[in-house]
Amino acid sequence: MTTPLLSRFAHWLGTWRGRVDFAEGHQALMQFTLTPVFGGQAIQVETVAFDIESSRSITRGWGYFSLDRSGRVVNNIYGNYFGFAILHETPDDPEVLSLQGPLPGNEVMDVTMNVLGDEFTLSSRRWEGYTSHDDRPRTYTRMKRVAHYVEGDS
Amino acid sequence: MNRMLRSVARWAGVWTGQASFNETATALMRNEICPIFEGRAVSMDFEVYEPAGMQLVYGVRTVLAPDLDGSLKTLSFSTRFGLVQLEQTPDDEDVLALTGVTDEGVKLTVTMLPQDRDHMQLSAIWRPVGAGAASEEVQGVNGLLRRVTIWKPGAPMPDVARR
Repeated sequence: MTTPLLSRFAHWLGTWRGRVDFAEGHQALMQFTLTPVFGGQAIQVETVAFDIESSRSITRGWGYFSLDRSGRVVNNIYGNYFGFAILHETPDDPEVLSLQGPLPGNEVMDVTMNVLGDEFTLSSRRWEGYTSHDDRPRTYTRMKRVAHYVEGDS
Repeated sequence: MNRMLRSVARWAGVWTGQASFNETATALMRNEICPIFEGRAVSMDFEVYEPAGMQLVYGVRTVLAPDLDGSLKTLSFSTRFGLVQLEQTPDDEDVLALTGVTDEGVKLTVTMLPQDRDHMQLSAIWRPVGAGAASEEVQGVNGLLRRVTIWKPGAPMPDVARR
């Protein structure tokens, strides 16, 4: 039996890897691993960005996707470079997941994700929460699937 | 590294034991603790089962990590409450005490009290915000866990049932 969350995101499960262009200008290798927990009631997301030359991890993140009572996605996330946040789904095209929420220090984060075939694209931005316009650049990631999720692997 | 996080990392392994659920029913508890992020955070997989049919009563996936100000917080998904964030609250030096309020207005308190190297008292209590500690609306699970497997870096966690 599948869950409403997996009905929408089962094709996102697995491990994805590709180049990330950070808003600050540098590049790295990004890896996302999405795993269902408790039979698909939530999806665990583990992220790590590696320095391309040294292969050392430069950022780490962890999160859970779940659905709220209205069926919208809620994303509870931790990143070692921005701390803890809760992002809520915002309207977008059906195949796109867009999320937004406050960060510490009166900042706001928005993230847009999409999976098309074996390509996972993600862009994110942090901006000052008290301004309506902020032209700071976005971080872009384009990843290829390197492993499908196999039940029992988690 | 946060001193409490360093202590929790020393609890790495699989812990199991019998617990009371809502003070009446007997349950089995399992808590698996692993250092992650090169030791800068800890994951905890907490599950409560009813012993007759081994059906999951309550399960939580948690990451315990320092926020930017150094305070410890958790990022959790609970089968009972959905997404939850808890914050460390003051307690005795060797006790991990966490508390937070769910989206539905339930106050959740988790306490992990090590008895010795291989035994730990664990309780998770929840009640509606505003309800007193003696209220009939207080629910929770409480029990003594024993460490059955010590986590070793680089090796898969042995299956407890095969030991």
